[in-house]
Amino acid sequence: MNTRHFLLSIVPLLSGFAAATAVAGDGKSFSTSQQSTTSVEDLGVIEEEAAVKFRGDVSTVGTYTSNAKLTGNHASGDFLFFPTVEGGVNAKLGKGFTFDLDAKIESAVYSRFDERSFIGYSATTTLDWRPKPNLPRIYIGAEPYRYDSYDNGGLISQAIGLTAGTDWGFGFNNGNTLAFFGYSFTHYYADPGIDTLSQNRVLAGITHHIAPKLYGQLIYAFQHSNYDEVSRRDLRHIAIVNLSYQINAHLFTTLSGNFVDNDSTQLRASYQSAGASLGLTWQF
Amino acid sequence: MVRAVFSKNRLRLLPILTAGITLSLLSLAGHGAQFSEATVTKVENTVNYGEVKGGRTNKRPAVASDVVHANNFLLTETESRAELKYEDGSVVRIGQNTVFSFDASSRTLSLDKGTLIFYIPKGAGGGTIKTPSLTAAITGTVGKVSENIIAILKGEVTLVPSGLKVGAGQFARRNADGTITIAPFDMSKAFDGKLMSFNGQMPGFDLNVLLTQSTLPANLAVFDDLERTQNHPGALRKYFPEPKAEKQKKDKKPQGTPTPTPPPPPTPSRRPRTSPSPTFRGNL
Repeated sequence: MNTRHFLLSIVPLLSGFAAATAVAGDGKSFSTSQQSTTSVEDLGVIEEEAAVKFRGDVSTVGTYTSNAKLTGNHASGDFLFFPTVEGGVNAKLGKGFTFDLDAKIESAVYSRFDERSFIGYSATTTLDWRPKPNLPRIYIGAEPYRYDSYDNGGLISQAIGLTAGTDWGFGFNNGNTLAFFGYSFTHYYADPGIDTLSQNRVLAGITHHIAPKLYGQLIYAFQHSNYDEVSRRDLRHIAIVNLSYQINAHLFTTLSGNFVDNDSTQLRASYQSAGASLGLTWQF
Repeated sequence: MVRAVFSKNRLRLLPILTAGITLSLLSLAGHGAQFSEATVTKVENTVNYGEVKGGRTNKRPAVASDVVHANNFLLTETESRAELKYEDGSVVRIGQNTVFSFDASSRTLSLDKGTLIFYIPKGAGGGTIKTPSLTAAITGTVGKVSENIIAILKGEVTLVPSGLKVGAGQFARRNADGTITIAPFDMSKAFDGKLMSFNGQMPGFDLNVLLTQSTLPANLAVFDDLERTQNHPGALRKYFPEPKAEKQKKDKKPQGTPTPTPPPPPTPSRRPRTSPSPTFRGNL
């Protein structure tokens, strides 16, 4: 795993596609890489891909945000600390289908407003289909999540989101730049029910290969949320700038800046916030 | 009469045909010329340039901007690498402990020992890659090569003499028992290996290749976490509870037939962490 894996969340392989083809001789095939040490050093490992791939990462992000309470009041700037542990499994099902399962435990610790600190548990399962390598990907998924307050252990929110979406990207600038676009629709069935909502999200971005181990990224996302049980609609704009540096094969760091503008029909829910963060991720 | 006209037309066509054939021959010769020499664009540590003259082999250290002629060879020692560029845009990077040569007339890249990666642009005339155990016909292709492995990152090669195709994301390997295995490899590791970034990103191979197996390269999870825990209606109700007066008003809504309800058991009161908001309007 490396920075690209983080940036591209690589998806794995399985079954028919991964089945090795042995030809000539007695028809036997070998699963060992049969590469010398120097060959691995210069070319990387070239071996048959595992049918099912497991992954995991531990990360920590420190961020300062100008409006930690996410209200119209800008006087709630705070430093937040986000430790996260994540694991996943990925399998290619053949004919362009891929299945992915990801589970995550994350936390946010507020330095000033400790009553806002929380711990979250979530899982994401995705079935996607890409008919041809350069065509857009179409996917459906489910994401159950739950957040508990550190303050009193009480439930903040829990829901299951059902998503359908598509995304697509293309390289240009001699392959040094990747542009990508995406759209998704998610309906969250929440408990308490007042958090139940439908959400449309459009996303566009660019990833640029600045140096062999350095990537820059610009992302813009627009989101429309409509709540089922309360009279509230939100329009949210998110702009993000990332710089990711790969320290070694398993470790990378990301410096990030962001701006969020949430325009809600509910006065208290409208806010703007700006933030800067520094993260470190160890992938295995 | 008809014959005369035809003859006349044939005479007119003759110079055009002659010019066409000449141009074609020149074009073919051009391809050979474009491949008859390559310029060393980068050298790391100890790289030697070898010449065979009158049955004797002469070696001297290679330096950047050296011009390597067909049928001469390059040798690298441990932790040494070099990059060659051809006039047709082809690029070859050779790894450590490698012996490499090329032939102009057949456009053959020969790896006697070690590792290399190559890029042959589309329309450049193709060529052949030859190792001690594998030979493949190449067109517009990017690939990694060791003595017993040819792995294709982009495009396609055809193994000689079997005619078997090895496409992008696949490798061909000559096994110890003489069989050849053709199987997919993990394209998420395509950028791995020191040669891939030896002199900047390998031309002809872009991030889009990785995207074909990826999800969108954007991580908005932190923004979702904060939104769900700080700004969703449930969270706002938690952190900005309704003032008691308003709550009581709502509770006193007229009912059809009042039913007696037992008084609630006394519960220990908990000190609220946040004060009721004077601007709260309810119905989040």
